Amino acid sequence: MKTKITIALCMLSGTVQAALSDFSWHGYVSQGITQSQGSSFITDNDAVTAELTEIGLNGYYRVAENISIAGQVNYLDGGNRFEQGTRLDYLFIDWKIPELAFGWKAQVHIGRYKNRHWLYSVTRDVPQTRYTSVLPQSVYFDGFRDVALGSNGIQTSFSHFSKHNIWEVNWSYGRSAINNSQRDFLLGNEARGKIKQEFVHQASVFWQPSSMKWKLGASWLNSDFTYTPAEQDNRLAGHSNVERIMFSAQYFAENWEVSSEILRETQDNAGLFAPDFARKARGEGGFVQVRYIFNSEFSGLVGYDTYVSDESDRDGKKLEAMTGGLIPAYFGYQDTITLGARWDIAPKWRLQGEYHWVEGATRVVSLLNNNVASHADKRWEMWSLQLMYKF
Amino acid sequence: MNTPALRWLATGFEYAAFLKALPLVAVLLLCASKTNAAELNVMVNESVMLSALNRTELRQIFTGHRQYWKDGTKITVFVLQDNDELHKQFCREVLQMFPYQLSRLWDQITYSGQGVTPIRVSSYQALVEALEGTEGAIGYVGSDEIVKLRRVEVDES
Repeated sequence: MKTKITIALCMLSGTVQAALSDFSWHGYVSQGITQSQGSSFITDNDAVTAELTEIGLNGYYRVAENISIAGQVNYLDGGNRFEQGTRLDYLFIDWKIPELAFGWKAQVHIGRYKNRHWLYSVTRDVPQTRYTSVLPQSVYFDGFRDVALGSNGIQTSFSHFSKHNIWEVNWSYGRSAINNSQRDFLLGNEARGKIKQEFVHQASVFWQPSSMKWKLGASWLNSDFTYTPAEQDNRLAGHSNVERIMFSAQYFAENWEVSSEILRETQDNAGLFAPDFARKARGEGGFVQVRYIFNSEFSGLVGYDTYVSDESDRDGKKLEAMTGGLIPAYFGYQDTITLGARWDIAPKWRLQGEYHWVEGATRVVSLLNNNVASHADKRWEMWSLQLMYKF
Repeated sequence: MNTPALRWLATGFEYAAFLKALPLVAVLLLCASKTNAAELNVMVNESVMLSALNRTELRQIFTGHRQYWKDGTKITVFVLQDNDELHKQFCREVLQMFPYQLSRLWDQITYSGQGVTPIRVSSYQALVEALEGTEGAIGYVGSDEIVKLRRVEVDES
């Protein structure tokens, strides 16, 4: 399937001009090899695999002076990290309002929009826009990828350019469909009912000085989920609320750049296991990545990422005790050190490699799954090498 | 004084020769620096009736935040490839951004449906031809010899 898509895209790229007067289209193709050792995060049984494919094709059509339609479909294969297959990434009406009061501009997206509240969320699937193939899992948790990536609803973005500052204020409200694969990931394979995201409400603000060397931001997310059990189901009706507060920062210099995001996330669960079951936990973490640019072709990266699923149980010992040893303590946290390298072979081609050393496994599998302990050792590693092309 | 470098330093003849050659070296260095820092002008197609833009306006145009001229004509931005020295000079001197920042912004716009990004052309000649032949076009050139384009002053205010 992915070979056919790749060939079709390459043929198209050779025959159609990249930009026409009212229509433009672009895309990307990437293929890599990857492995997780001591964990089923990417591959089972420590297998080296080619399950690292990202292919996308998008179009942008200008209907009127300030109204356009934008859409993108992609095919993704990330091993065990998320469901393999073709997706409608986004499809929305893009309405630009170039002149508001006090010099502000606005952009409204109605339809399936992309989350633009975090540093990498808006182009999370586009390999050329990321420092690493596997993004820091504290913020960009792959198990919740499809829900966090975008939603069906409305998103607005307000921007203001002045001599000294650039401001961007974003707001969105929508919901995403949750498929059975994500249900299984979140609630375990024995769940048979339906999870529904009632809403996701997000807001963010970003500031840059006129030098554009800094980018600082803050974002907020609030989302409600309900679980409706099937007739034959060992889960009960339930409800969950997730609230996330995050701060983002980037610094750009001639030969190096730094990106960092820190978050605090509260999950409030009720029902599911017993009518009176209730559990509220506050997770927190973040990452920092430094990229050094040796020249216009080569750059290297070092990163650190950390997350605890319950800030009152940082070493996971309470979790282990609470589950009678069924869930080892190291499933309460996850710390990752990353080294990466990038080679821009030609203007549209890039080769990118990375190696991650991980301790802990709280982002490997949902803690509500059976046989949690079989999914990861306390210390495990992963790596990938990815060749990418964009047009 | 067995080391060749020390012997060389100790010899007055070579030192005197170096002093004589110094003006020539200075002239060569000046020429080289002039070559590296080529003249750069922001240019628009002759259909665009303006003579100056400030840096904020240029940033809006080159980051996709402004897509129409005041008369309603669509803005079409042409640039050279990221690794072209003239493009790097334009990013640093005019937009005061690093080329990789601009490139990443364009990727974000392109692959998230936020708008239309500049058209990257593969040669200087193609850039000039695109600017001359496209209504509403804006870009940059490395000299002011082109007569079919309108030069735009970059207003620092």
